[in-house]
Amino acid sequence: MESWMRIKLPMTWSNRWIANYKGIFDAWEDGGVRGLAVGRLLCELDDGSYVPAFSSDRKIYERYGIQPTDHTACDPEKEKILHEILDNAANRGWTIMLFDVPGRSDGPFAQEDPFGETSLAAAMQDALKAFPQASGVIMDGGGEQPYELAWHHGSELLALRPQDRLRFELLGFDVTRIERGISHLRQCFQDLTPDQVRYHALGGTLAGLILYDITADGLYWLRTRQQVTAKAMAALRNAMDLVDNNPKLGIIPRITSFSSLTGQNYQQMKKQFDLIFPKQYFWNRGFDGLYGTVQRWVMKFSEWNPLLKEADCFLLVESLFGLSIPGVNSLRDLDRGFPPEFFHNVVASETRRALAAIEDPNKVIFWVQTGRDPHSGDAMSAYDLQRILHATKEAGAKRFLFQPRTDLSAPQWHVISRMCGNPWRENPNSYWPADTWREDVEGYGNHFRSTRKKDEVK
Amino acid sequence: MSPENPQMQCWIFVFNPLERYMSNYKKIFDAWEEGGVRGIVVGRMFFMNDDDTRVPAVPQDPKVYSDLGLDAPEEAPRDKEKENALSEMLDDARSRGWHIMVFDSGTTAHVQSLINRYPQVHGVIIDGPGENHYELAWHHGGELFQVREGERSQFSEQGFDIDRIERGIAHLRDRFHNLTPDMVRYHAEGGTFGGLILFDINEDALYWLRARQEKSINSWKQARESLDKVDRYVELGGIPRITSWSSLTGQNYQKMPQYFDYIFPKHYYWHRGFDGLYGTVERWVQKFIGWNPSLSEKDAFLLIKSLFGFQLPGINSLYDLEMGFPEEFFTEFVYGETLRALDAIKDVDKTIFWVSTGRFPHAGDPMTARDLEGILRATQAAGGTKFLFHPDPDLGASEWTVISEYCGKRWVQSRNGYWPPDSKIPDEYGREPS
Repeated sequence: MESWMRIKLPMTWSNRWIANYKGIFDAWEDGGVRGLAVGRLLCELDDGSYVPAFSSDRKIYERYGIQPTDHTACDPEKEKILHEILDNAANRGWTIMLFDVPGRSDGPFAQEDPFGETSLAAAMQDALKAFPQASGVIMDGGGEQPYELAWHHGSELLALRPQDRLRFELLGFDVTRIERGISHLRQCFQDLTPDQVRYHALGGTLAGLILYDITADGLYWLRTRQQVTAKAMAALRNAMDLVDNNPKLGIIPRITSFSSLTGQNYQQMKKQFDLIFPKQYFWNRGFDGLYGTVQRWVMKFSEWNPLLKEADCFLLVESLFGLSIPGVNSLRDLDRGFPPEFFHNVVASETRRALAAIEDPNKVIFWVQTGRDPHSGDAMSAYDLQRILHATKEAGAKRFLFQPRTDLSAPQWHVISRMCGNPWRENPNSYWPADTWREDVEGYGNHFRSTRKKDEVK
Repeated sequence: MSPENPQMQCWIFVFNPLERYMSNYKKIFDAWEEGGVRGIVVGRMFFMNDDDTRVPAVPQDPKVYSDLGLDAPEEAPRDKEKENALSEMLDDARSRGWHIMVFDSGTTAHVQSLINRYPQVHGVIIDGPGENHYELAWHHGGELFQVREGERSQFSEQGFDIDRIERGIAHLRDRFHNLTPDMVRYHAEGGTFGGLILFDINEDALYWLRARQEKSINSWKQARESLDKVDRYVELGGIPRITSWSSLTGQNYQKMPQYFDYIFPKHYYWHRGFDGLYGTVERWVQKFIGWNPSLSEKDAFLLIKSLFGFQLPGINSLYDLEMGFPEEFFTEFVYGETLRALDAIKDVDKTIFWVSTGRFPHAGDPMTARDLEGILRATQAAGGTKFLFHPDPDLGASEWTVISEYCGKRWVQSRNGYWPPDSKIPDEYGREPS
């Protein structure tokens, strides 16, 4: 398989990285890395705030008719080294994509530009001019609608955020009707009984319509979400089309099972994006992980419907998303981690569905994360990583991107290099994945320090 | 092999020609009683002449009509001798403590006339009560994407917007003709949310689907109200298709119990013919492929899963359907359908699974006694305690062996004993004993 890496800024923008990037890239190249996603393009100031990692070009914003924000790089020296790092990567023939761009407006937007296309186009033009090594820009979760039943990660399914309400209104949707639809569905979600669930939950779409009593208002809301996301994704494309030299546009949607709810329809996406990075995120707790989202849905259903057993709540998840997690019938089971069937069934199926929808494996790069605290979630082992990659490959995928939480670990690099290039051989005098403690370098006791402190070890 | 718990209760469908039972009912009923039969469903209510013409078994009572302020129908021919024979047979069944239901209901006057002539009867049964059409292909008198004339007037009378219903049907029909492999493989395993997108269910389509559900409920209400006008309580039974189809037929198992005293979910699984699960699946798959030539058979099976939620064990192609029923079909699928029905109805005594197998079940491919045993075992394991056997056309020796083993004293074939009529009597029994 072909591997890409995410280089997170500013967290890994450390002395260790700056001093060692050539050695790191040499090892990565040997292990099969062929692309990078770099960003967000921010620097952290001493007071903990963030500023863009490059100086903006006011003329670009003026060209787009946008008032430029105060946008100067925090550290010209670091900006210079970042260029050296990207030049080095580009010279190896690696594809480089920027992860998001600073400098775009968060709104509110006018009716004639409800998604802030012009502001985004100016920001993308600015970033891509600043970093000509990059082929394009990746937008995380573009157009994503809330998908958590519990309030989590800044939103919840059955509540309109102020920005959502404003956007729906700007786009001409009937917000009163949407609220009626939400209210009815909330009522239904809080009034479920075991007999209803056990009768209907395994009955497919037609039974789902009955189980959740989907009314015309509820359907209006669900379809509106899809339409708004489609417009948001089209707006990203339109913005990129305003940028010089046809840069690539990428998106990182949640995995297929949740895409029906996030609104990120993979089939519409393939027309708008050059690269699609489906999130192979499976951890429990934290955010954005499949186990964690399932756990939160189950807990909320249980809380709202005390008569339901946990198994009933899992049936509801299966009914809504089609997700049946092998060997998992209780919340306790989720804490036992991932049985082999999870990879053979769920990961393979999610991968196959994404590839089938997109119809071009070269356009698809699965965005994979495991490790000590993936997105603040429970740890996932290198064995889990290996099984994700095997299942992904067997399902027909060719590429993935690995996102280390802060740094790669030794077992992760063993897995990735074996899948993609020359298997890494541990050698104290060469590349060492920095997330794994080395007594000979760090000394006994230093592994108790935080990652940040470890970065300071010379 | 002996089942772990052989104490199910069996009913039998005594269906036309009724004369075959009336002529020898004592011997038949003796054997059935020993084998565990505790109820019969009799009908339809007509006798057959030698020339195959029919005579009503229930004379319409003019007084009933006049009491209800109705004009009595023209007097139909009668066969009082057969009426008396039928009545004697029902007396015998009642004397054994059996439950007696008549297959088919009717107006208040019809049922009152029935009860007046055959007071032994506990109630009446409606086959497919409120059933909306569920076949994608034109089959058995209708198709899903069609509003039949009778239905059109029913929808109108109940206040539904026919134009909107037809828009909904047209929209869904169009979508069902424009499915591609990428759409199917992406969405079909995505649950309800995925299905809404895959089939592009819009508000008109939803209106139609919900109207179907409501129409079913209205028909049950009407049936119950008709019976409530009879001068004594008459039980009402209904025979809906099995749970997986019920979302489409409109026969919501949770809403049926308030109108019906007995619900007889159809354990019908044969291939071809009509009303069998394998056959319905085959016709849906064939239609999907016919309408969408780029789809593989596997894609079409995925569409079934998306709509109805089931994936038949070991079945990935139409050819697999020809191979019959693997063990998992019973232990997983039949078991699951039974469990869902019982969960929905919430009254095991009210639930009597209507089972049919045999040489010619509803004009379908034959199903063996092993299949019957698989159905009964799974039903029992899921908590079912009662079933009705619908011989088609007659009970066979192996079927009766299975049924009697599950419900009473296992039948042992013997020269002078009861002989299930669908099996050939051994040549030896036709000779004088040596």
